[in-house]
Order: sequence, then C-alpha cells, then structure tokens
Amino acid sequence: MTRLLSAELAKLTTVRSTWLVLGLVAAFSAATVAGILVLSGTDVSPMSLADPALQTEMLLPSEVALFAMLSGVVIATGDLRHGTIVPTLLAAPSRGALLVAKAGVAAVAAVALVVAAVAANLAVGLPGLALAGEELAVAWGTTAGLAGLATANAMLAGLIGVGVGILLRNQVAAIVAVVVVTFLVSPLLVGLVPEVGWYTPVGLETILLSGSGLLEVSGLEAPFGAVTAGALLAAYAAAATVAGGTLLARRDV
Amino acid sequence: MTAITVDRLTKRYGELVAVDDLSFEVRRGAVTGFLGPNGAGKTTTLKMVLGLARPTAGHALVAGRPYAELDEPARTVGAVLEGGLFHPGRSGRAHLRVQAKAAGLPSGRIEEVLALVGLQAAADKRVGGYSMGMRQRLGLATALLGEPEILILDEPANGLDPAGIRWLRTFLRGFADDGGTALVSSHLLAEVAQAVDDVVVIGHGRCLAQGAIGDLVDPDASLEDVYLDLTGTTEVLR
Repeated sequence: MTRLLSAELAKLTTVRSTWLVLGLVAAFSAATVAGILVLSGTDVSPMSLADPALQTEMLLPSEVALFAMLSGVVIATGDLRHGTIVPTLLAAPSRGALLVAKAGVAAVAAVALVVAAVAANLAVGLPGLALAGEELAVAWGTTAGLAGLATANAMLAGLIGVGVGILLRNQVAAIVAVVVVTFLVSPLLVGLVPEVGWYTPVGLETILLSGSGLLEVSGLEAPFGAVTAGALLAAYAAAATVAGGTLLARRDV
Repeated sequence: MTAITVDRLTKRYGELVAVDDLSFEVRRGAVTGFLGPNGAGKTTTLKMVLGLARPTAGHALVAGRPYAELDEPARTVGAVLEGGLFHPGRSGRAHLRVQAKAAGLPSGRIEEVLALVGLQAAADKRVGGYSMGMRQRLGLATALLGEPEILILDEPANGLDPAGIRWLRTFLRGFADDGGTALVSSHLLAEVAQAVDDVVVIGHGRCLAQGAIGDLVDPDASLEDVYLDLTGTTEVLR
C-alpha cells in the first residue's frame, strides 16, 4: 500500500498541471480576499471590515472543495484517459489497493489546496486589514476550528471526486458534471427546493461551515446542524468510493 | 517447464467472440512468437494473461499462478501492451520512477534500464514529444525494471527503425539464452522468423497452430507461407 501511495503521489507531482492548479487556487483565493477588502462597507457589500464574521470568512479557504473534487476526478481518470492504468496494474495488480491509494492522494491534494488557499488569504488579508486601519478581530480558536472543518470538507470532496471519476471514466464528462452540479444544480435546488438542496454537497458544505457566517450572509435556515452535514458528506464520500471501487474491480482495462 | 499456460481461454463482448476456447503453452527459456492478423484476439489474450481483462471462460497461469496472485509481479513478468502507455506530460525518467515506486523496485534500476534501451539522452523530455520508436524503448525499459524472468511484449517492433529492430532481435535472443522467456505478439513475420524459437498462430480468436518454428515451417517454405495458409489472409507486413 505504501508503494502505491508513493507512486500515486509521484504521478501527481511529476506533471505540470498539478502545480498550475495549486497556483490557480492561490490566485483565486488572493483575488477573492482582495475583492472583500475593496468592496466591504460599500453598497455592494455592506458588512464592515471590522466585523469578525467577515474577517473569518475572508481568511478561510473558499471554493477549495470544488478544486479538491476536481483534483479527485483528475487523479481517478488520469490513468484511464492516458492508459497508464495498464502499467500501474501490471506493477501492482490489486485494484482495491489502487483505489485506496488514489483516495489517499486525493485527500493529500485537498490538504495542499487548503494550505495554498489559506497562505494566499493571509498574505493578502493581513496587510490589507492593516492598510485599511482595521484590527484583526477574529477569534483564532474558532477560525482554526473552521479551517479544520474546511480541510475535512475538502478531503471528503476529493474522495467524492475519485468516486465520480471512476464511475464516469471520461475525464471531461466527469469535470463538466462536477462543475454543473456545483454551480448550477446545487444552488438552484438550495434556492428553489431547499428540502432537497440542503442534501447536495454544496448545501452540506454551507451547513458544515455555518460558523463562518455563510448562513448568516445567505439569510437561509438549515434543517440540521454541522455534525449531521459532516456525517452526510462522509457517507457520500464512502458511497462514491465504494461504488467506484466495485466498478474498477469488475472492469476490463 | 512451462512459463505461461493458456487454458481454454474465451472472451466474449456481447455477440462478438474475441477469443474462442484458446489453449497454448509457452516454454521456459524460449522466445515464442504470438502471431495472427489484426483483430485475431492477440492483445485481448495478452490482457487476460496479465489479469487486465476478465475471461468469460478458461484461465491463464504465469509462472504457475494467476498474474494477480504473483507475489512480486514486476520481478516475475515484464510486459508492454499497445506500444506502452504513458502520460504525455511526464518525462520518461519520471514515468520509470512512478513505475519503480509502484512495484517496490530500487530507483537505481532506472538509470540501468535507460542505458539498456539507449534512452538516457531523452529521459528528461516529456513523453508527448517522443517518437513511436522512443515510446517502444521506454515501454521495454518499463518492462525490464524488475529484471523479470518472463517478458510479454505486444507488437514491440512497431515504430522501430531497422537498427532498433536488430537491437530488439539481439536483445530477445540474449534474454532467452540467459534463461529468460519471451512471448512476443507481432505481425512483422520476417522479424519474428529470425528471433523466435516457437510460434503460436491464432485467427478469429482460435489457435490455428503451435510448435517449434522448425516443425511448422518446411525448409523450402517460409513462415509467411505457413501463416497465410493458416490464416487465409493477405494481411502480412514485412
């Protein structure tokens, strides 16, 4: 298992696209924080920069779960797309072990994405607050707890991505499916049919990270708490991984 | 002694029968040519032998066991299918590093196999820029990482220039002379005839003939004549 984990990690770090995605996440996070710094206290975003809830939201990683899920998709489908699953299975024929290794690397990638995003947020946010003449007012304990939840959420999203990737097999189709569900289907369901929408990964993420003020900002009321949301996300990740593993075990390559 | 046993192997895709009750053996210390026209079922058979495709019926053994049950598969069998399969954005050396890690092999072996196939100069270039011949060499380097006793190569001469083909032929003979076993699928009959000890000829997924090349080919005939008689095709590339 250690061999396969090491090999899967080497696969990820020996292609340029991995580093491009990390850079993209850092740039996206920095741009988001810059936007908050510029727009807070205006008609567009009335909350004040002095508000601890806004500062907490600003420092937490945003949209990292989406990138983690997409990374999971790429980790799962890359071998299928390029045929490299053949030499991989020739070196280590256990398909179950391969799936576990891919899931492990997807989780590691999710942590790396969170670290890149938080580093960018701090690099832009702290000087930005100082320039605006605002004191840092976040409760570090709460912020660290929320960052931990965001990391767990990203790791679970990565596992869901691995499962989705293996189930759909086609990399482009899987990426399109994740993006459409995240940006279109989930928000529509949360807004129009909330009793269903809260159960989508985006809905569950919103509840899981509700301590950051996401629910306050959106003005919505969730039907259950963060613990239930986390448990449901974990169940989705387990279901996606098991379904992907079942298919991988039976499929000819 | 038998290195590879294929026993009543069958593969169906719906109505299509790709491999049909195929049986043959590959003896240790010999180079065996696995011949047949395009679509005869050669690659499908090799995939079943290597545990990559599930047989509809029958089974295959490598070194006496199903491939998936080998303790150290990369140290037992080196295989290249479909000209080698690589991520185009990864360098040749990085590809070998990934494979060495997956198989639990020492990284020092990477330089040895690169030197063996003559790919050191291009090792740090991305595989997407490799020629077909370079990809074949990288595939062979991958197969040789674990210093296996058995090689299974699918059309290894495709894309090689004349010097590369001669090198491959010499390599295979040396490998067998040192006690190694090779099963080589090919439709380049002129090359196969010079390199192999035994042949297995298949058509429409069925075994048409197998045995020592000297027993199958009369002194006044060629392997090509025998192949055309057996397969009833004109699809021969020299």
